[in-house]
Amino acid sequence: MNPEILIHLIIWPTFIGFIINGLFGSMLSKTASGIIACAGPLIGFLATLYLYLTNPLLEAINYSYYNWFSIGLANPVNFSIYIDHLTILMLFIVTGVGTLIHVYSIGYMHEDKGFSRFFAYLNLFLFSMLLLITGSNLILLFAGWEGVGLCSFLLIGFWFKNPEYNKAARKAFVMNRIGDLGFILGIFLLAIKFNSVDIVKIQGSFANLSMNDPSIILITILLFIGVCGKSAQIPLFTWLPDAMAGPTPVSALIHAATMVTAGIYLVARMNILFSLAPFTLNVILFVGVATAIIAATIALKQNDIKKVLAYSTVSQLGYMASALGVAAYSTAIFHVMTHAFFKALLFLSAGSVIHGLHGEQDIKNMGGLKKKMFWTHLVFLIGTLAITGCPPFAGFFSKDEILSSVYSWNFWAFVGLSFASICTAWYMFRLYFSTFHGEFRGDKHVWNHVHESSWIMLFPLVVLAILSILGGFAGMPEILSERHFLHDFLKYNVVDHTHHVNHFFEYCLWSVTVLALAIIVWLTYNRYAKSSKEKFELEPTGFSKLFANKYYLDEIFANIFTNPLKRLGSWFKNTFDSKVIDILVQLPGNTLDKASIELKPIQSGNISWYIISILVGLIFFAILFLVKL
Amino acid sequence: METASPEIFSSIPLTHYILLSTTLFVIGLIGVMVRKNIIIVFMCIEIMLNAANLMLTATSVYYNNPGGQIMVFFTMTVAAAEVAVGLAIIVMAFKNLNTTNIDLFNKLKG
Amino acid sequence: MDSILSLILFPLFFALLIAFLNKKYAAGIALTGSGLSLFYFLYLLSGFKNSLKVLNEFSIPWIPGIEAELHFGLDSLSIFMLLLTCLVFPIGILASMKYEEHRSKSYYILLLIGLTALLGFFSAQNDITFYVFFELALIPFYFIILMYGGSNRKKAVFKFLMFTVFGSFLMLAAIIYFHSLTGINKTSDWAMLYDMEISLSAQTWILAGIFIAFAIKSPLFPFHTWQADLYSEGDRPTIIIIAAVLSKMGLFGLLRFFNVVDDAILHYQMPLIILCLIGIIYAALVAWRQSSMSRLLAYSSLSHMGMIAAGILTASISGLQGSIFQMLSHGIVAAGLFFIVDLIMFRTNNSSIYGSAGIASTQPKLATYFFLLCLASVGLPLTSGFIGEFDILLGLANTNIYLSAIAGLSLIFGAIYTLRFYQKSMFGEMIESNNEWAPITLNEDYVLIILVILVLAFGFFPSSWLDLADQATASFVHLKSKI
Repeated sequence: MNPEILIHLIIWPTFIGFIINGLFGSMLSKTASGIIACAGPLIGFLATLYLYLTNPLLEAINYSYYNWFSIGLANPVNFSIYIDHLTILMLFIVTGVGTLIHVYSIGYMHEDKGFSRFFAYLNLFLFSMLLLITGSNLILLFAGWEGVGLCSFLLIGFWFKNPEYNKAARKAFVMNRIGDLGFILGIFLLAIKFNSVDIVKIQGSFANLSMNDPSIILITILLFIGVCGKSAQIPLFTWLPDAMAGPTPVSALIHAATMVTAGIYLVARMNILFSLAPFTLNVILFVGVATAIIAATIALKQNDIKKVLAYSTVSQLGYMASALGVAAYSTAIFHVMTHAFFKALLFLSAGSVIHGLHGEQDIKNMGGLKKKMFWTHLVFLIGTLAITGCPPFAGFFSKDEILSSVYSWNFWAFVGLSFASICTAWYMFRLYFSTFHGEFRGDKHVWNHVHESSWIMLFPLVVLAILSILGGFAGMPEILSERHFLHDFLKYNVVDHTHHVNHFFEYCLWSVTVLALAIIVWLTYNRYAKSSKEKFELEPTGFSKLFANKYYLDEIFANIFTNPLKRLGSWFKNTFDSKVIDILVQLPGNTLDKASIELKPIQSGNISWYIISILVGLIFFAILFLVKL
Repeated sequence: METASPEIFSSIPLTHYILLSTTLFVIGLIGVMVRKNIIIVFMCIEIMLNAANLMLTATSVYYNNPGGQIMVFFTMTVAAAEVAVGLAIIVMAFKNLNTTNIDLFNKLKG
Repeated sequence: MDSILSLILFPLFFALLIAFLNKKYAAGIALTGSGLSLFYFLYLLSGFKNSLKVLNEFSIPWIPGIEAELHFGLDSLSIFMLLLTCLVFPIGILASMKYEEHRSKSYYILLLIGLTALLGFFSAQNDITFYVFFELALIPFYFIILMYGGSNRKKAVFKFLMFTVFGSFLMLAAIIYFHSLTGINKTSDWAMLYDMEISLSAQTWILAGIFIAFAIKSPLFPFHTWQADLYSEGDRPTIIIIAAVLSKMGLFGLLRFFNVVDDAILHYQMPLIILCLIGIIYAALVAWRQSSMSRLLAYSSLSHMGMIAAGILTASISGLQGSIFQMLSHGIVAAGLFFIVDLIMFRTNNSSIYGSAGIASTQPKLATYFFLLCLASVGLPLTSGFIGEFDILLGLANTNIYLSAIAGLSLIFGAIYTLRFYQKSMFGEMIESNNEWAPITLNEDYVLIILVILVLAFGFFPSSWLDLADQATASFVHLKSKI
């Protein structure tokens, strides 16, 4: 098969699935619409696999569908697809994890009335995500970028009768849009500077640019604002925890595995540009570390199972950003991959728990679920071990690589990330023990109905669990293996800054990691495995209170931006528009109106008065005339 | 313009004509302003008109320019028409309002 | 006869038919007339060569004393607005058909006269014709709103009339001043006017006159106060047309006169653009706090008009190109949104955005169309709204990146107020009285499908239209930059 057909097969099946489910969903049976929906990403995955196996991709594939539009006079923006190694890797992640989550959703959403609508949105999301990954120019990438934001909006507010969910959806879209504004301004500057928006062409014109060129710094900072919005970095991350209002597969697919990593992908895609701006890289490193720490500390005190995972996602995204900040782009992509496996796994197993408990999300009403949900428990444990970086699970390798890269760049950033790492282990084992161990703390009635999920939900979990165990071996550290498979794979497209890692340091890091993990497991087991319900209801104090209230960031943003703007808008609407502008604009007319009322009595109808006026006027003009002469 | 003064102005100087017509005009003016009876007011207007006519004729002779006298013919013709129309209006107004008091003729004010 | 004259006189012919036939055929004839105008225009369009020349011309001497003539023709700029006009009128008439028992023959006659006037206006090829039809278009709409609409319509429409007439007077003064300066009496076509060299100070006066006139007509901040009143009080089917087409007259005029006053525009570019930007943000903030659907859309429209005007004032190719495209796109989207507001208010009789809450669960089709139109309104890529806004913002960025950043805030605010509008009016718990909603009729369905398809088609395949817009900008000779 030639690559063009494969490209069609990668991109369009999801779109066709969206059209079918969107237009004719109500006529299809649930099975049919589920199968159609799953077929999209599955075909995409198989096509990617085939493309990868048959094509060495020594040269990137660039396939143009048509001329979309042109900027200015001679700069056509094509609707064209660009595939290289980085794209292939992302395609694997997106279509692979996407397929699994689609399959899972068939089980999870089975009772829902909006079944086909849900799958239509999911397919549209995947289509946008594929556009984002494969777009050959920044504008097409931006189209996918906005498209995934749109689908995120639709899926967060999927249960649209609830105003709270709608609000969360709107918040997500608007905060993403703030980032998008930065992104699009960055695109403008690039287009003006390089006279093109084509990613390859732009990257090709970097050769003659100097380091820390002010315009490059501005462009990269603007692009990074976009990244902050999409990948939930400080200060634009508060939408992600709220986004948990959507169905759990959505949280797994969009808000953990794929969409939120789009920002990381963007920076990796434009890596040559970012490498030219060390100042921006330092900003990214700082923001990444701060995000990792803040989100991890907030996660320590959350009681909603999905909220914990959401903050954990934000924190992990902070890790990826930190890796970008030290110019270890392929390491960041490595973590994107492993994170996609284990975070999707965690979310889906959390979904399985929620499904089993009929919608209960608060861990204070859980506990002891191991007895009834063995498989869910097992895969959740694997996910926990993977995210906490326990060797040899997937998270261990990628996290280790990030930590050692950061260590060789900036010691304090390393300390910060290590601290976040400890917090990660703490909140994950807290979550694990309080959910699956000890006694059930909720209603007896609920307990009797707790059930393990169906095979259609468990199958994806098992696959993801296997990937979470093995995924890390794609990038073995140099002590263990001569060849870092992932770095070799990406080296054509991503130019990393090489970090020299001290072997002794590496060994120390591993031993400390294992030791710390062991201690944390022991501590959290004692503390949470037998915890009573009352303990979860204790009013937090001191730092805990700060963490539990998310550093009051929502309140701060509301009081600094939203509320004043709302008040300003109301004032404009009620007062300024009608009392100031309208009056000013109508001033000439109103003045004439008033004047005519004032002057009306002059026409009194008294003839003598008229004649005297005439006389006076006559005399006045006569004098004027005479004086002038 | 030439100012050849004809014979007549040696016996009665132009000043006398000007004084007479001004006096007539002022009488008419004061009458229009002060009197309330519409017919009197109307007559006063005629007086003013004739004062102007007198002035026109006198200066026309003085300046030896027939234009003024031609103008007077016009004025007289128009005045005749005006009297006809004006009296008709007065009669109609009297029929409607049953008065000749000019202060009550103020129904058109805004 | 392939002349533009037949297109312009076409609706008048149908107006005459209505006058002589029974009232019950009025709506049908009006619809046929406007529909046939659309097809006839499409036929003319198919013969349109992408060139700088004016095609399908028609001219006739009018006032011999000042050698004025009426002159019409198709060119690449007028095509956009003619398409919009021909497209929106059938929609407006379809929307009005559900009120049929309340509509007299005169309503449809006036609408068709309005169509003629607008077609004449957009195809006018010299300033006298332009001015005459600018005024003419006002009259039928004034009378329609005077006859139909909400209880406060008389005050609203009087305000509208006074504002517009004041603006027209300034425009007339500017045109006369221009002619007295150049000493030409003969007004044959635009190209001739564009060639005149006039000093900057004279251009400044002309710009002042026409800018205020067009700012009132569009409207632009701060001359907008007639708009929200009119949109919320006026007859809703007519408002569809006013919001979609009449609001573009001012901006179209600015484009037409661009070359006459280009030095002045470049000289006063900054303050004027800043005025537009203030308007964009101001209108967006007001729209955010509105709870009446029509008023919300009125301010949303104001915000978009500010954006388009800013794009024109950048005097850059992408800014102008984007503005021209966005005028068409916004017209389609505004027509769709006002159409939906009309059909909601016809059913709920409630102008509040909360009046139809929860309808999405029983009317998924309507909710979907509405959502797609909202997306185009917020400028999501692959809808028609994106292309125009992108080009305009790019043009602004090329002038000054900070201007672009401020104008870009409308991306954020636009998302806020549009999505708020959508969610409050479609989502949430169903209001009980809305359980017996009549499902959308076949007519409504067709109109919305066509609009949505157009929105998507212009979003996916805008390039041939952008080339046309490019042709239109090519006649603007003194552009500052190439982007």
